Amino acid sequence: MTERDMPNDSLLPSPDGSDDELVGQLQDELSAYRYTPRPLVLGNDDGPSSRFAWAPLVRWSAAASLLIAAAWWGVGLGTGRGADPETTDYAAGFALTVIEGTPRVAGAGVAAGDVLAAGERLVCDEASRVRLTIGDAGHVELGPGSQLLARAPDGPGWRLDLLAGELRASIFTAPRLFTVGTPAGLAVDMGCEYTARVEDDGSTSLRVTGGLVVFEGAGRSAWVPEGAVLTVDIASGPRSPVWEDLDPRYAELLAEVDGWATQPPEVLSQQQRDTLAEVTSVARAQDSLMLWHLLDHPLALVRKAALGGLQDLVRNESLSPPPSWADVDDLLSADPRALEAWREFLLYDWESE
Amino acid sequence: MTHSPSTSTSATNTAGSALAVFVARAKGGDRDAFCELHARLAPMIHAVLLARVAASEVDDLLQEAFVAGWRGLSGLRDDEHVGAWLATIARRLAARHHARPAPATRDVTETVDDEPTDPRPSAAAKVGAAEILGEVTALPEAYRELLMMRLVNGMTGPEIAAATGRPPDSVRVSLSRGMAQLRDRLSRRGWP
Repeated sequence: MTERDMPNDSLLPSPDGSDDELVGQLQDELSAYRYTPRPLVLGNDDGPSSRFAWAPLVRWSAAASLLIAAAWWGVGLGTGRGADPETTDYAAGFALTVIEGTPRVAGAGVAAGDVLAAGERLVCDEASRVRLTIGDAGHVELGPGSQLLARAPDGPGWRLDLLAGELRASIFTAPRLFTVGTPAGLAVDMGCEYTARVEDDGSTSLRVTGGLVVFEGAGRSAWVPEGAVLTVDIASGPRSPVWEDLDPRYAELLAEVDGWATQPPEVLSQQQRDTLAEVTSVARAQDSLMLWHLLDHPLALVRKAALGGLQDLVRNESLSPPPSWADVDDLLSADPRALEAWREFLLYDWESE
Repeated sequence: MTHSPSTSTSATNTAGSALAVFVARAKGGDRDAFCELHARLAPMIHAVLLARVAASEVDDLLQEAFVAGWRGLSGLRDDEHVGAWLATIARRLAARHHARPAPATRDVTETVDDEPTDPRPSAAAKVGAAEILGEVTALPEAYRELLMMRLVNGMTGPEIAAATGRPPDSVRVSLSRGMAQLRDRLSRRGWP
């Protein structure tokens, strides 16, 4: 049944019916672009069956254990084009291209055609920049004053450790195949472009300009979509990510609330309660990004306030509600299954920021 | 503080459960099951791509997205969210497509190659199909994919909610707001 047959579709309520009429006109106009069913050609690809029999086993694992498990079973992770485990040699090293200056590996200047092998350290002085090719999944650019260590793959995928300075990654492949370790944790690529920076004290900042990155550290995971930034402390792990264009004052207040996770006050002062109220009273659906990350805060008061803010967004801003099977107690107790399921819906709101 | 899940959300979950049955079979290597997913979700993915790349590129990327999905199906953690998962793959492919050298950028003036071969007569002849498509593409991301599903592929709100996994109420509001913005934009171009 087409829309033309359903002029009273309640999903487009317009009191005078003008939306229904306009929809019909536009559907006629755009009919030449309509999807034409075509058979799906899967070729001789074996698909997921033989390579993924272990998938349920790692469902609860973090990215690192997923990769380890894959190696243990000697099977591969299904990927998008160019990263098929049966054709991709993840241990082949990283081809280097000097952009400027004199990047060095083991004290020697990088020359054309050089490859950074596992265990080798790449160093850029303040006048150098270099590009690493990540298979055919994309590339990484290491900036001035930076150091990088290539790690041996322990399963399907590529792993680099950013020891100091800054790198910019542009990766387009299946999720979780490319990871960057820092002193503060692990950035897991979900198909994205981002900049990671390691400060002198080992803290890490992440700025995502495309796609999605998950950062795992100190037992906590932060989901950082395009347009968001993240700060990660070595001791306390990732803070709540924030949108880059957010009011700096709000970001300061949120950082204060995040800080209560490692140094929880015995009793919240009135000023702290005011701070919490301000942080959890957001107006835009996309600001659920910050509130969702507060749902696993150690302080019950914070979790309760965050959930209240999210429920306001559901009511007033059409934010995606939690899954129907998850009740308030599940959410207030930071039940991982409930939070993860809700996040799956919220990702769309975050991606649409 | 209470939360009252809507019945419409339950309907979405039911649709997701139906898809999950095919996902489970496909994860076991059942090609027919994956082809069934393709049949059900291709119009939605087609719209996601059409919101991002030139019409002439959509078919190839659509095929590529489902092949990538077939290969990486075990990476899907929640079978009920297969639609949203495939949409993410499609968005990623579209982004990579734009990263390639010399891609055709999408704007309202891109009419030569993409002009429909069979434009139907209409009261709004001054604003052609390519221009309308361009106006939809110019809408905020939150709206343009849904309007592509609605206006190009004729999906109803419930069908969109079922395919994307989004709550029907959320789809309804986004469609309504998107239509309001599209109406304004078309009015400025002389749409009657």
